[in-house]
Amino acid sequence: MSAAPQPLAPNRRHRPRNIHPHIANSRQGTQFHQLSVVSTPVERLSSSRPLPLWWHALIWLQRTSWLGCSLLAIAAFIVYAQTVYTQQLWGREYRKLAALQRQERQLTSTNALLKNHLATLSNTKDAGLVAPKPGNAIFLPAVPQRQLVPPPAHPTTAEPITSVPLGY
Amino acid sequence: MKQKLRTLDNRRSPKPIANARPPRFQNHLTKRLLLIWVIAILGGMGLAANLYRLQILEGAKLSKKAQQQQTTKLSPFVPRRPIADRNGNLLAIDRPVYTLYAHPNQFKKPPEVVAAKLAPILLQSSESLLGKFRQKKSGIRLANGIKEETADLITKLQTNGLELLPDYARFYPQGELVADIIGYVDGEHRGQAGIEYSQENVLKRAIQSVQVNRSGNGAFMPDKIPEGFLHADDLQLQLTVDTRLQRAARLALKKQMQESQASRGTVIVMDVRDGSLLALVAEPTYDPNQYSKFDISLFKNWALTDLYEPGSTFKPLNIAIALDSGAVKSDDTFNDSGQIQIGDRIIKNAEGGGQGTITIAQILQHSSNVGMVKIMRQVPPQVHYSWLEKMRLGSKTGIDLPFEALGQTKNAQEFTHSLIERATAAFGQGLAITPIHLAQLLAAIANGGKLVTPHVVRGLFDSQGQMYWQPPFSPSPPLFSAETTQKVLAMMEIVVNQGTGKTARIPGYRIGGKTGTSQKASLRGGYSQARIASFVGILPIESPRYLVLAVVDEPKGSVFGSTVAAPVVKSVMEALITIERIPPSANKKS
Repeated sequence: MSAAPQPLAPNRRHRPRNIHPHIANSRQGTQFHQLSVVSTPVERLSSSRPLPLWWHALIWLQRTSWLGCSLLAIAAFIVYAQTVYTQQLWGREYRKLAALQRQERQLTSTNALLKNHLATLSNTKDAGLVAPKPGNAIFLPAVPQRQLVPPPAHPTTAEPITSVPLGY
Repeated sequence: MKQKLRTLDNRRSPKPIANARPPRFQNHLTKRLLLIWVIAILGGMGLAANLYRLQILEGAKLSKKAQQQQTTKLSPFVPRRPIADRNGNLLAIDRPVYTLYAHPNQFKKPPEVVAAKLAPILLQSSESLLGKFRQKKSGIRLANGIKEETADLITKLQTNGLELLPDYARFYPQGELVADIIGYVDGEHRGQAGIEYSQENVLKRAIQSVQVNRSGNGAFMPDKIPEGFLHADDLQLQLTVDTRLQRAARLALKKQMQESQASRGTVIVMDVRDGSLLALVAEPTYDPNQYSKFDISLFKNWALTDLYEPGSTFKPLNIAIALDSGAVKSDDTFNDSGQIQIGDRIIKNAEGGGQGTITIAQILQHSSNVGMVKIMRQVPPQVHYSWLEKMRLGSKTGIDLPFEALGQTKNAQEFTHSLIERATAAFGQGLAITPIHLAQLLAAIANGGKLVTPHVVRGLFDSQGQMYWQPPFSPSPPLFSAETTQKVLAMMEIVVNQGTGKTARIPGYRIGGKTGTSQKASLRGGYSQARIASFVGILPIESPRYLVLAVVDEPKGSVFGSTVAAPVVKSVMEALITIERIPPSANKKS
């Protein structure tokens, strides 16, 4: 043997990532077995060793975590946008409130001013209005209280006599 | 295999790299490292120096600048509480006004352009504005009391160097109508007269403003605003006054004062059950919107600040004293001889002649001074004086308006030992009270004998009409017995139906009343020729509810309560009947 036997097994560094070390070892073992016993027929080792449940769970978590992560990121964006938007909204609504309050104020004072103006005008001779006096007021005498008429008692009309068939 | 093993061996024990590098290269590398280190250190030091400058040297200035840019003061409009009458009609309300300042050193446009733009808005000539701009570089007050609409126009100009500072102004939509009750507020928004002064604590509200952050686009960031910041209460102070009645009373008084050329007058309308005033007019008056243009003496309400000798309007009270103290009976008779000598003085009837033997009711009907002196002679002096004390003549009524005057009477010694003092007191002279005090005492006759406290404040109400606060009312102590008041009321009805108060009759209504024409005390002592005419009316007699008192000071011509004051009371009662919808008396035909 002039040359040292080259290991057939791939370098650990170049091992494909998706191959599990157990599988790789088993494959390596098989290859060494082929080397040492060339003449013996190849035996297929059962590779279907059941993996534990937690293993599956972890793999599932790894594959699905991006979804949760993305949802959280979106939620964070929404919350942030809301905080900014509500403040803008508050500012807008505050301005609206101030404008409405101002309108209300102007309306009330103008209304009061107008009332006073009309009342002052009505006192002038040209207005053609007269102050209300008891002489030109109409007082309606209170209507005498009507006597309570008791409601008719429960109708006591005799039940219509129906001919009850007594028998045939 | 050996080669491989060697390689592996070499890998296990590698030779140091430094030993492998040439010395020149090593030297070069050291220099480079040193250079980088120096640059990093210098950079760090530079950063530290800048940090020191920003945080320590200019820290305060920069943080102030940043705060100015990022924050704004939010001060919502929190006005002084409005005042309304019993029907909710506004009597006083706050409105924002602005003061315009100019800072010419901040003008981005020539002053001529700014002046030309401002002139039509401020209704000032651009020349005068330019003249003001030249006075100072900054802080020139161009106008004050600018309304919101005008302020909007100025803001729309978008001119740098113009500053509008908000302020509050009190507005009285009814003008002079209720000035005697409401009063006014000064330039610093503090009440100076009337309700504005006496109810300052109820009307005033703390102006709350908060510092809020502002985002880059100028929008407010309300995260630091305290809870309930915008929820100012909507309470308003409601009075017992009825504006319609107040207007009718003022109109009637003004008209009568013009006709009789009187110097002043007052009308008081009181609900005798609780002392609430439906109208309180004092003439002459002022416009609280322009108070600075009026004489300062008008700001007091003379109906409660000035004393006068009530004269014959006091007679029903003296009769009530005589009846209640048991000194006389209602059917007693007295001889009215027309005049009576008391010491060295002679007391006469106002109408001159005597009425002969007359009843107490007739004494009141004819307003006989002699008859009154004779009635009050039956009351022992100490008892008479104790009644005057019971009436609280020397104290205030406790009305919720400011600057009320104390009544004046003689002291006990002087009163009980002087025949003339007692005699003059019998017909309402020699003692001085305010018109509001007289109204309070006469109300005791109308309401069955209680001494109610006159007042104009009803309470604090919200916009839904829900009461939130009511002023504490002092108890109403009994003064006369109900039986006595009934007797006196019956006598007062005769005065209106058959006596001196005929001018106040209203067909269909049972009204009681009493005229009064008193002499005014002169400044030199004694009495002057000036007179005060007064009349008090009570209606409806079958169930007394309202009292109307009119006092007219120094009328000219026919100066009697029956000719000057009674017509005013009649007009006011007519208005009162229609406003309060008082039905005609059942057993009285017109």
